[in-house]
Amino acid sequence: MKIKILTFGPLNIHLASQQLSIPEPCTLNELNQMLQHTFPSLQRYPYIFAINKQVVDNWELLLKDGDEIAILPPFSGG
Amino acid sequence: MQTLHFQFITGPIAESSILEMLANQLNNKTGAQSLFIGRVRADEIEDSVISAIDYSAYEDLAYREAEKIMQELQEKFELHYLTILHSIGRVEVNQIAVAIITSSIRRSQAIAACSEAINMIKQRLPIWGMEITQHGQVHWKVNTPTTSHNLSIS
Repeated sequence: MKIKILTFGPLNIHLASQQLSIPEPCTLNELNQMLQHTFPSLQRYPYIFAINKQVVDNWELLLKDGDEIAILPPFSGG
Repeated sequence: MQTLHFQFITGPIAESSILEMLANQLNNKTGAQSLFIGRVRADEIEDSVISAIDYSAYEDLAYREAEKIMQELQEKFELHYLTILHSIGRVEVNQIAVAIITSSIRRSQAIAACSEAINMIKQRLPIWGMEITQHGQVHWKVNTPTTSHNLSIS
């Protein structure tokens, strides 16, 4: 299945926003492990995930074809 | 005028637009208004000085979260009006990057809401600031204390 990865702030340097093909089924935890394996520099940052514009912390959540996965480093607005 | 209003502004926020909102953001029961203005300052970083901040955001999520923040603040402080503006893109030193206006029946609610609003913006809105120094170096802004990622979880 295909998912869309969005990155922001300092993470953009290490991983550009892009479409990815991933095996099915795939949990958020499995996706995170794949990303950290492919882009080891991700491990230097704390980050959280948002799926389809909702922040999630359920690592066992099954991803769906067409999901928009945003990787969010610590915020620094204001 | 909308009771609750959040908006990204491209570039710096104009003083004139803030004054206009102050004049419009009240009803016959409004006894107090509080205004917070956040400007870019020339912090020193590694033998250089910041000359600007370039802001970026996950706008779709920011608008959703801002809606929740504003509803929480309105309920808690019984606000008549609340407006939050935040810059996107480049804002030079001394220019305005954030503006918050609260209107309520008495000053205690207006002032407390304004103070809580800027904390919530820093903690909960997916916005990132890239600091640009006079020598052209870039650093990612870090908010202190580190209170990031306090978004409401679905």
